Amino acid sequence: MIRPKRPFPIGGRGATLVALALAAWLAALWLDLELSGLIPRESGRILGRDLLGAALHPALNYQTDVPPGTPAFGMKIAGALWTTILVAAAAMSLALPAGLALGALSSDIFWTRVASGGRERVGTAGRMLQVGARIFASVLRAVHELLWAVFFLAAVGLSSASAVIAIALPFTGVIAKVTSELFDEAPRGPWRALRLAGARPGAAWAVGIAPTALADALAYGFYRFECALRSAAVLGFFGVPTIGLAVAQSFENLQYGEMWTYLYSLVALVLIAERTSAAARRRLQ
Amino acid sequence: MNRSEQVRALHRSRPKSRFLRIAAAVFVALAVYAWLGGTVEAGELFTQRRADNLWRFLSRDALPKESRDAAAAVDGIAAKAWATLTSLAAWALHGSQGRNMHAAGATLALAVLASVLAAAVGLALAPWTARTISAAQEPFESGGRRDIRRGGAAARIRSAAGSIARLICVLMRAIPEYILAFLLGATLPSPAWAAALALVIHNGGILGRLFGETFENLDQRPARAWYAAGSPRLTTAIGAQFPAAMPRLLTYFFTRFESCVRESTILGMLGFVSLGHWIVQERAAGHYDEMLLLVMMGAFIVIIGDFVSWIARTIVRRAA
Repeated sequence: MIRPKRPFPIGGRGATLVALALAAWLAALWLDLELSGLIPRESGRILGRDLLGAALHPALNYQTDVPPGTPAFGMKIAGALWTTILVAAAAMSLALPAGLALGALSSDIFWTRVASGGRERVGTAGRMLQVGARIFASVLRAVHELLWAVFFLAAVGLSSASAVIAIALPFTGVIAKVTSELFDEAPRGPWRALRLAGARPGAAWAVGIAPTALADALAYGFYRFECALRSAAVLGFFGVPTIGLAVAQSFENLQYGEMWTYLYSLVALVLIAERTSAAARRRLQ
Repeated sequence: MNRSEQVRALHRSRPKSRFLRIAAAVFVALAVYAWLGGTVEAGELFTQRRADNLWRFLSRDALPKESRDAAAAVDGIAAKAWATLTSLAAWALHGSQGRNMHAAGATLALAVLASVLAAAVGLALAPWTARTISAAQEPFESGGRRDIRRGGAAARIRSAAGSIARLICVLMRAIPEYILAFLLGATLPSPAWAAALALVIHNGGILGRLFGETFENLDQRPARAWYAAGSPRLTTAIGAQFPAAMPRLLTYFFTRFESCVRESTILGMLGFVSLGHWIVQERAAGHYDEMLLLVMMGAFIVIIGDFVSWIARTIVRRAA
């Protein structure tokens, strides 16, 4: 009898697909979802028609009279995008170094010692510090940036600086998780050779592990910058003057043409960032 | 050449990229300008008023009345801390039942539904986004052949469909879920469907691209054998490639499931009754202790989701 060369790891493939479909069906039941919920009512239909109509005719200027001194429409878009970029860059300037440091502390290799006889082991104190760092990173990334923003709003009031920190905190946790895996997956040969030659643990790690993993970590950092742009845009809905604020305000004022122009400019910004970060990642890997 | 010259020569011959240096310099310049140019006012965080607000929030608003009373009833720092902690644990256990537990269930259910539907969308797009399958001329060649000069109308249409599918994926993932849910919520009568569709659109775009790349990176030989024996492209993709691709597709699915769990919490802020809905309500009512409990429940669900996903991905990766 011919048996499959690579049996599927978790039961049969068909059973896995059926289980996933069943899970989705149970979730829909839990949520009381009915297909009628997908059909807009009269008011929703009118709004949907207006929105889709405006999507094909984005505004090239303000749709209503604006007070004297208001910047030109193009300048307003450029200003909102510029703020979005700056908020994202400021958040990444905190998250990247903090995430790399936390990632190093969360990794096995940072705490691994070469005992006599060449055996590698992590000491009790090192393991406890590593677990602490991992738990800290998990908590940071488990709370969404918008929830951090709500926390700051309640605790100290939301400002541009607290918005930046709201993005930076979960991003630090995510970067820490990814970079700790990168540090652990780096080839250990150079590090081991340095340790056996008498190099101190920190020096061996800095020379034997970090340079190899850093290229991938930076490549991942470029990708996170792209995500930070999206998060900065969404924080506009909480009053931070990014492009999201312009989207929310134009929607509330029923200026759908303007809203689509802002949305298209956000899409263009994200696409440029995506292309740039993809190009950077290609050169780093 | 002596040793130090050899080292210098090696150093000079290291891989360098002008593009990367410029990109890094631009990023650093943007970050410095953001902090020093007035866009981000770091000093704002350290004013006396904000420090007072934070202290009041942490020492009074964030703690439930039961904990404050329990602490006030005993003397000594250690006894106060213990009374606060035990009463806080009892309060949190009681508070996480009923309405809040139902909202947590809805958060998880939305993530499951949206990630499965997004995977279905990704699977539907993958045969088009994979250049090896939608190739104009010879399919199932590594890298996907793009030469359509000798192809007829069908080859051109197929190639155009592939380009359009990749563009659709880019556009689907470019708009954040929150903004999509905001727009869909205004038109659809069901906030739950609006939230689900927003997650499906964004994650479907991401999975469409990743699934396509998975098909491109497979060993193409079995598919070539099927195709040479007369099997159509789509049948070949489903029969010869999907079983081999499934472990990798599942790891991507679980990664997006993690993301959906995170996002479904906050989409409640737009009306769907998940944890985010009650977080906003409690903040508006000034019940900051309840608000923090809900935030903690959201974090707990995310950690559980991450853990389940990590186990599933590990099993799949080890066996694949």
